[in-house]
Amino acid sequence: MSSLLEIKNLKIFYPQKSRTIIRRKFGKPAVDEVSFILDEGEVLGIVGESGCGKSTLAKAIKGIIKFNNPYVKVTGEINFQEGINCRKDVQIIFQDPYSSLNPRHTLKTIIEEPLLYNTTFSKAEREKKISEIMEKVGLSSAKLNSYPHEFSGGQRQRIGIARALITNPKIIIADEPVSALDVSIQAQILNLLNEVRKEFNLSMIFIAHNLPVVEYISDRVIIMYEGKIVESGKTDKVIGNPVHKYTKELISSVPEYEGKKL
Amino acid sequence: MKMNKMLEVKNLSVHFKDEKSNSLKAVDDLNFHLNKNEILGIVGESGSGKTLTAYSILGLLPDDAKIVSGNIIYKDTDLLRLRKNELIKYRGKEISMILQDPMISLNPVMKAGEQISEAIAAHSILSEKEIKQKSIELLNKVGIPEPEKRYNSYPFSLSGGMCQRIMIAIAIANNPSILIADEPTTSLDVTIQASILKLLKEIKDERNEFSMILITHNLAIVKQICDRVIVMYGGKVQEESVTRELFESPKHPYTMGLIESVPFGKDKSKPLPQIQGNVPDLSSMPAGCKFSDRCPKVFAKCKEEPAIKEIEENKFVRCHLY
Amino acid sequence: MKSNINIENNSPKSLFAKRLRKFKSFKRGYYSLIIIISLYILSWFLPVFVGRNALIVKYEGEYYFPLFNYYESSVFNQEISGEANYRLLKKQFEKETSPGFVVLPIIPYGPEENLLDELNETPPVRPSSAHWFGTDDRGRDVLSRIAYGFRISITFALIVAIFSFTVGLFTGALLGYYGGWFDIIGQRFIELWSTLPFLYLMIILSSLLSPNVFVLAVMLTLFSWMGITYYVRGEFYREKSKDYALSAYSAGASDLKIIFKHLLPNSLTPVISFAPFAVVGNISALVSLDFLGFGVPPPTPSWGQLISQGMNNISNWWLVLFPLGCVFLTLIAIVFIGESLREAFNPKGNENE
Repeated sequence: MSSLLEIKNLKIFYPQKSRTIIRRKFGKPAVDEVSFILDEGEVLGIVGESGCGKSTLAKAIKGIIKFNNPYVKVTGEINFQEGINCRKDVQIIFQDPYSSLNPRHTLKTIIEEPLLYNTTFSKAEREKKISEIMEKVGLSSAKLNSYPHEFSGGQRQRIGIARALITNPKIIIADEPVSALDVSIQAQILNLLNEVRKEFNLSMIFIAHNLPVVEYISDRVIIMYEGKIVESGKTDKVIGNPVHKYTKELISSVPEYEGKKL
Repeated sequence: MKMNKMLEVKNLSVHFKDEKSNSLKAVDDLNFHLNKNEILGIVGESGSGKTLTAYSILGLLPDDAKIVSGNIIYKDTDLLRLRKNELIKYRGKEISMILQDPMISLNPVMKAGEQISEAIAAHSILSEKEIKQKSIELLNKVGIPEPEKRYNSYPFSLSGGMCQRIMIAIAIANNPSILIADEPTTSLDVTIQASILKLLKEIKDERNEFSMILITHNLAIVKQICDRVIVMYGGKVQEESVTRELFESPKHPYTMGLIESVPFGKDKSKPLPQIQGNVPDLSSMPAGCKFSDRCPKVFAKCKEEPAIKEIEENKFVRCHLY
Repeated sequence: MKSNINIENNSPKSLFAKRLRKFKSFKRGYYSLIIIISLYILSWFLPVFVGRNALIVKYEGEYYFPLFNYYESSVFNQEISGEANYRLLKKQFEKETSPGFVVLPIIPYGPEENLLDELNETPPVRPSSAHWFGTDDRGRDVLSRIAYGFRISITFALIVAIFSFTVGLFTGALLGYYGGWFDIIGQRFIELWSTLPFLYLMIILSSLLSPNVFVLAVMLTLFSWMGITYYVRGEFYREKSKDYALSAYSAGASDLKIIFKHLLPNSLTPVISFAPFAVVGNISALVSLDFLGFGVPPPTPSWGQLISQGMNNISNWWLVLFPLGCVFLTLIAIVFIGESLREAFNPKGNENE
């Protein structure tokens, strides 16, 4: 098996609000019969509108879906290639660079944390690693004792990337990493992601609602609608020659693609 | 030419006070005008002052922001010199506004239709029945199915796109001459965004003597529906041009950078062209040209503040290169 | 990759440092805090300023330090039983002009000391140069009792606050973090517990145990830890849903690490702004219990007991005015602190940027 990750018939149900505790009842699945594989070194884009289940899927792959709602029901299989330790080798980059960094921790504490829990590095080794990674993502080491609120959105997202990269992961799940950023910063972050992906030989699941961004960065793309995969394939094929009705509508809605014949 | 102007903003400056009560120039000596029957796009990133400009026009500035100088001329009246009770006659009647997040702009405990009726009642003397009739017509106009039924719906039972349509209905309820839309589609899904933009365009096309200001950070939207564009950075107009020309031959290095850095249609094997650095805080804007610390074409003269120049007809750029 | 950082940086400022600076800008609260803290620190050295024991005695060529040692009256050839009386000794020296001296505290009366022998009239005695605030109906110096009462009140209030905040924080944190069934049962228990009639139970318990200050503090804690749990629970609930908590969980942090390293520091705002008001409440509670006679056992100096004396001798104005005045001033100073803290920690002020 050459694929790093294989997902089979994944279904995720959230308990219905009104009876979360007393008698749990599940409604329509948020992720419905989703199956796909992630190959080594590829970028897999997942596109869909808000509420289509793409973020839920990301959390389920990383295994953190039950943190905020312990009553979520997950069925199906998520299989990593042998030798992949999900906690260390799979890291997630969050959408909102403002809420995903602890406001009371310094940069050093934030970036160091994954090392503390996943490695047995000494203090000196950790510090070396931190300054390496800071340099890589374009942050000055002089800022190690600064707090997140001293940084702009783009810089915070760099911190988030540094935190994700520090354990030398094999898979990065980027959940809308640029959608909260200013236009002029978006390109910087996309370039950075592309750069580190090549350098660390990472595989990436790139989740976004912005089709042109996904088109630029990913090799393959999955289009999700109401929890289901409606279309998937090579990026240029799906966007150049969409088959499903929803994909067509999605593409025709993007202002950049205006005038494109379908 | 003069007759053609709907709204003119002259030398507008809006300042903020920070913790140490230094004045931060959020909008700095801003000049622009809005022609009749056009959609004017104001493009800028966070902190460029675009939203504050819109709020100044309607007198809706937050408490810590202050208009230091300037005139906003609408039909020979300076809106900034009006008293509060006089401005109310304009707000909603002559000039109305759509905000970014429809879910929080609507009153959650009031029926959607009643919020439209309320807007009509504020500026007319129609009977209750007529007002309701008119509200339902408006709901129909903004493309809400089953308007009679939806009149009695509460905002939480409607989707984001529906709520934005209701906001639009409220905004056009009194046949305003100017509609200001502040990031009207940013919080909506792409497919909904497309339909809302289409609706705005329709509304503009079927009216006479009606103009729209569309504030956004999304260049693609501007390209799609605006006639003329203003690019703002650091509280100042950096470039002003007809939309097509702006995209075909951008002049200001900032505009070029913005247009270039959009990933659409770019070669995957190469890095995206990018603008270096970050949008500076208002307190740490560089002296001289505001963009000078990030500009790839910066040279010695950029330490001085460039003036805005008309380099071609109706094409204005604030840059020492021209 | 080029470094892209160009933020104006004046020494790293944590959120807390920022808030502290803001707190300092509220003069009323800031000065109240300084005054209350200095008075409280001074109150631990009270015997130097107020008390029956002399600081230094020189008697027949030898030095004595009664502040630290106990001397029988026979040491100084006094014809009374028990501990030496240094005020008498001083008078003795003045009469005899013998070599030796006594250095007394500024207010040379102990809080529990019965001065009936030295007073020329029946107590309560009105304020005079000897007794600035007068004496109470058992001939004890009011100023001395108020001073010692301050120390006891504040200490008591702080102990109760610390105890109940520890219990409340911990409970609220667990409820908010784990949620679900645990939360529901926990909340119902707290609600039931809150309905227990606090004053009656305190009175019953006090009459059974005749407690000292510490036991009283534990008893009050039993009935005052619930309030803060609601705030902490809500705060934890909210903070847990933020991405940084998920991010920590995703990095492999254990529950304990997430609770104590991540969520707790971000959930302390209500605790800190609540604390001064809790202290006010605890002082009032002690005063009420003492007033009713179920507080600290007599003759421990207490404000509530002085006020109840004032109530019984309403014509003796000094027994009403001075204790009530002190309670009022102390409470209002702490309220000022609380008000400023709340303002400084108001998240609307400076949470972001």
